[in-house]
Amino acid sequence: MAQVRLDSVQVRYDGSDAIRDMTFTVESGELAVIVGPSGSGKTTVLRAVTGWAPIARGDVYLDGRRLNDVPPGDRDVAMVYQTRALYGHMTVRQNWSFPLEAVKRPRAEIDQRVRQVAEMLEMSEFLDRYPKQLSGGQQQRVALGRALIRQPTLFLFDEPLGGLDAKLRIHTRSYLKKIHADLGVTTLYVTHDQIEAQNLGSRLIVLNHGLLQQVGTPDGIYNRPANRFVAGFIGSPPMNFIECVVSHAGDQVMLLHGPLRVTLPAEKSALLVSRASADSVVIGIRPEAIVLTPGANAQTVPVQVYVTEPQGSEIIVDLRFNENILRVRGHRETHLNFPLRLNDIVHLFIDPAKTYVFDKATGARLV
Amino acid sequence: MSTLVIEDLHVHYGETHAVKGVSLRVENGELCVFLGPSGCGKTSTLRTVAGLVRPSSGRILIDDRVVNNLYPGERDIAMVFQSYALYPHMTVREHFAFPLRAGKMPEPEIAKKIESIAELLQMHPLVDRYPRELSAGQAQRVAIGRALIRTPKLWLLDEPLNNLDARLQVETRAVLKHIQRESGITSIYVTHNQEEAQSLADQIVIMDSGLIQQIGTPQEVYDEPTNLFVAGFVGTPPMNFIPCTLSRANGQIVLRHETFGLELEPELVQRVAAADGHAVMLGIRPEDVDLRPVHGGDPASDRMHPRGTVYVIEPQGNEQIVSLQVTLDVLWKVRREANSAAVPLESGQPVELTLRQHRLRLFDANTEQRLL
Repeated sequence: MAQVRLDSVQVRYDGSDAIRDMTFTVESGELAVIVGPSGSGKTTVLRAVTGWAPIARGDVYLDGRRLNDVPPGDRDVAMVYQTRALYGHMTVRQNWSFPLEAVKRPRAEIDQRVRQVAEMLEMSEFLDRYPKQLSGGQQQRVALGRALIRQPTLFLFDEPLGGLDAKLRIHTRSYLKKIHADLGVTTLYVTHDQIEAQNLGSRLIVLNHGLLQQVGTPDGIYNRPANRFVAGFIGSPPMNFIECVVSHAGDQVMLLHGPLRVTLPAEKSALLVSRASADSVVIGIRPEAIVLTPGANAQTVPVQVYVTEPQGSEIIVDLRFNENILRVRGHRETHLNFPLRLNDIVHLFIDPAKTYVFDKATGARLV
Repeated sequence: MSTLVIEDLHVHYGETHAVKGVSLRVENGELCVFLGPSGCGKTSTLRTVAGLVRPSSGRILIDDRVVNNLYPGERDIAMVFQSYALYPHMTVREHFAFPLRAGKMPEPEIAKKIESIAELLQMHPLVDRYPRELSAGQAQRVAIGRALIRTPKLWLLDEPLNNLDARLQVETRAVLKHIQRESGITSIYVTHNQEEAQSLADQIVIMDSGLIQQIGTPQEVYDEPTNLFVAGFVGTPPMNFIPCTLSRANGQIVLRHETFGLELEPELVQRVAAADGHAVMLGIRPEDVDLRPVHGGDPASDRMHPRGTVYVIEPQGNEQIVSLQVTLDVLWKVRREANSAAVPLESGQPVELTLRQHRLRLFDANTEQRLL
């Protein structure tokens, strides 16, 4: 059991900050996923925990013990990389025994640990095979086993599924989630794939440009994003954004863009007024929250079909609205069951109850 | 304005029989996607159309004219490959202009064309840059633009989005599809990515082991897969499967598994020709299963519906993917909305699985062809 805490951590490479002001806590037994685009500082955070990144400022704690001055080898953390880091000339058994032999554990203990790990990962029948004789998924298990065998207090994963094909990724990540639930070892997992992050994490730590953007559950991050970056990064297709002019009508706020008029309910209006006085904002709406109809009414605005993309039982429709492309996602039999041909004019309704409002300058969510 | 016909095409590389009798027709203006795992023959087929690979036998016809003996340059096609070969000494603008100047287009018209392709590909601020000043994604878009700026008889695209990150892939494929639709140029697009294939295609040609497995619209291959391979290859998470034995008695059909016996609805019974005792594979898509928590109970032999134990729950936006252990070696995935109305589930919980029967698919366990 281990709690990880970063307090105002800053790491500098070549005179610029890779991460700064990094403060968060991962509770004992959690699977926390660090997610962000490339260059956001995700891997640097892991390296600050393992001891391979120079900490310029701030502190890293494992169970309340300050790690800054503890050499990497003494931190009791285990790292899992992509499968290519396996030793090709060693069997599965040798790949697993190696880390324990290196620290001179007794033979009997090593054999027993190998047996346990093989059972846990359902690899008992493959112990004497070489990595190249295994499938991609099995190789991934070998990589995982090599970390498990050391019984570390903390697991660190750096894009471990990067080398796998789409189907195997889906399978392996369910498997990892289950293994984590069974073992309950505190885990920090790095990925650039936001779907993987949502699927796996009990909590997500979202980074951009070396700065922490938001920490929260997948549900909390998806439904209550802290800012425009998080709103646009988590979710596929991404949230739609439209710049709007703020107009007041009594207690209600109207957000306008061309013919589009989103009238915020009283409560949200009050919230917006209390938080910002700007005369323009950016509204955000999820692709599944937009309603599309073949006919117009007083609430709708006309948009033009740019492309339609079938996706299994659903369709994604890209629509041209002034200079914006808006994406709508819906079921092809229930929501989007009317003709949507190239350049057709259809009508769109944005539900004010499902609309987010962001500060145009800072990106912070206002409503 | 062109049609493409491929007749009984075979391609050998030494001992390897890469394409084993492919025949298909791409209508004027269609975007046809060749989809399959690596080594299925999709790229070899495309390369014979381009004239880069010589068929061992079979004919390629563009607009009803056999082109087997024409050089690539004589076929009036434009190609985009996964590896974008850009000229280091030419700016983006010069790359775009190059094929047009070669076709002797007047300069003012070239300028207009460049303007519009740069806008479509969102490359406006970059037109005066050299390749070394571009990211991999931007360079790939230059390669795409260079091909799409011409109006040849055919566009051939071989995994052109592979080097882009996920978000840019999604954006660029929409742009690509829009440009193709607007221009109406007959196109072939090769990919191993089934999601990309569904998004882009008018027709998908699904290949495996050098053979065509199915040709159909995205909806057809998703809803009516001809065989087990197609059913498992198209869709994510993939279709769920479980082996059953078909039992026929008193005008009824029951799909028997050791843990359940699912009675088919009457309107489905007449559509299944298989005999009593036939080994079948039952298939159902992740969105076509309803979950209901159960608490212990009746013996397995009396159960009509499959049961499972919640393995993990994976949130995904407004939905969640529930993995279920159905038997020791069968893991299913069920997609459901994650709103407050959904019955809350937790890991380890037993559930009953109700399959939407009109969406249920059956495959012959031996031939792997679809029966229902």
